[in-house]
Amino acid sequence: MFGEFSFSAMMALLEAPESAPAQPLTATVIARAKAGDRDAFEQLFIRYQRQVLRTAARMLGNFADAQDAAQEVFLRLHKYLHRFQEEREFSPWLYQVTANVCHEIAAKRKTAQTVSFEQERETGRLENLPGGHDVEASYHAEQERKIIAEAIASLPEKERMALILRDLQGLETSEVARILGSSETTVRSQISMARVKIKRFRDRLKL
Amino acid sequence: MNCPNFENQIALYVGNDLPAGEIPALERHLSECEACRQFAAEMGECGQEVRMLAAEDFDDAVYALLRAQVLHQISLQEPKRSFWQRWLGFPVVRLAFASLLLAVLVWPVASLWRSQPQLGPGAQMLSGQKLNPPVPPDVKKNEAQPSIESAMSAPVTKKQPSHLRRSGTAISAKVKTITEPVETAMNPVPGSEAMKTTPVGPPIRMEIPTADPNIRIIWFANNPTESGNPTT
Ligand SMILES: [Zn+2]
Repeated sequence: MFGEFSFSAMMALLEAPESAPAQPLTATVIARAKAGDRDAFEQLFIRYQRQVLRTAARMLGNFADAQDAAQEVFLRLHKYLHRFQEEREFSPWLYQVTANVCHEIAAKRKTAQTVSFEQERETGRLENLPGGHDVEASYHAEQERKIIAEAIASLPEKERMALILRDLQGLETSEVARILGSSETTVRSQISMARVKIKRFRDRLKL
Repeated sequence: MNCPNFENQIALYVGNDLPAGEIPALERHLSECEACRQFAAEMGECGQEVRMLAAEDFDDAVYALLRAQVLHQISLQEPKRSFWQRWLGFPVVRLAFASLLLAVLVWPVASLWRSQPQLGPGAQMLSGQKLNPPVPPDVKKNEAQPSIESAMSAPVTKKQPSHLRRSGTAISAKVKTITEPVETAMNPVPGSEAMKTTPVGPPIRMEIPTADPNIRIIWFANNPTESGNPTT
């Protein structure tokens, strides 16, 4: 059945632990997936599921929307993969699709929800951060983390996207600019404003 | 209070995003301005906290559910395959169909051969003995019109004869299989039409090599109406 995971997909998992940053896939896997190979598509899915869902979750600020967005991204990936030009890099292309889908979902949703992502963490869907055993320190770290997460969620969409791609996903400014279809100067401006706003948000709540 | 004009530059500087050309001027200002140095230090801490969020992840069950949902939707969108398309996808079923088809095609040929049990030229060559029996009238008739069985045995006789006589190899076993009509002719079913209609001829010696070069099956068939005893 389609819902089951194929052996080759499992091998891909073994080769590249999911916690590791996504390595570029071989052109063969992408070519096979383009040709309709189901196993290859699953390999692509497993390799990029974290990139997509985590970006969408930070971008949309709540788990339900992020799940919808991630589903839509992979459905579009399946539908339009044949249009992907293999000389391009796959990961930035997928970020582009993710950004577009998140933008559409955010546009449909009138008001931004900023705290649900944190609620997901409390209900156990988010894995715990690695932390010390000191209860007080853990509590302090947890509070700071929440403040930062809320600060990110409160940013204007373009600044949020630029900051997520640069500071959370660790992409170069030039890559972020390509993904968002902006100039590097614009992206730098968005990133700097986002960082200053987060600091102000944090300063306000820490007082 | 830090200098507002430098805030954005400091924000880029702490994240290594400030263009190289702007760095010396900012560093000069930082060396002179205590408030901006403080701002830069706090901005650095803030940046670290932001990057710590990157370590957060959902648990595997969330991803498994996501995959299951997406793959299910994709399977619903895919064009429905017919019953035959689905079943013919299995190799075992394909093999069974191929065998059935082969049987259907071969059956008329085999039954035609059974009704004409005398040895064809291919079998004679297989036996390693040149046969010049007085050809009965009905055999002549068969040779005159290119029959299916002669068409089947002809390639074997052309390609393999001397080699088959020399050594018993796997190839000879294959040829044996190919020349199934020869075997059929050599083993007429007692009481069958083949036994009744076989013309009387001089003794036929058939030597069939086996996988073991030391073992050969020699078959004397004086008259197909009499039962031949295989001798090894
Ligand atoms: Zn200053």
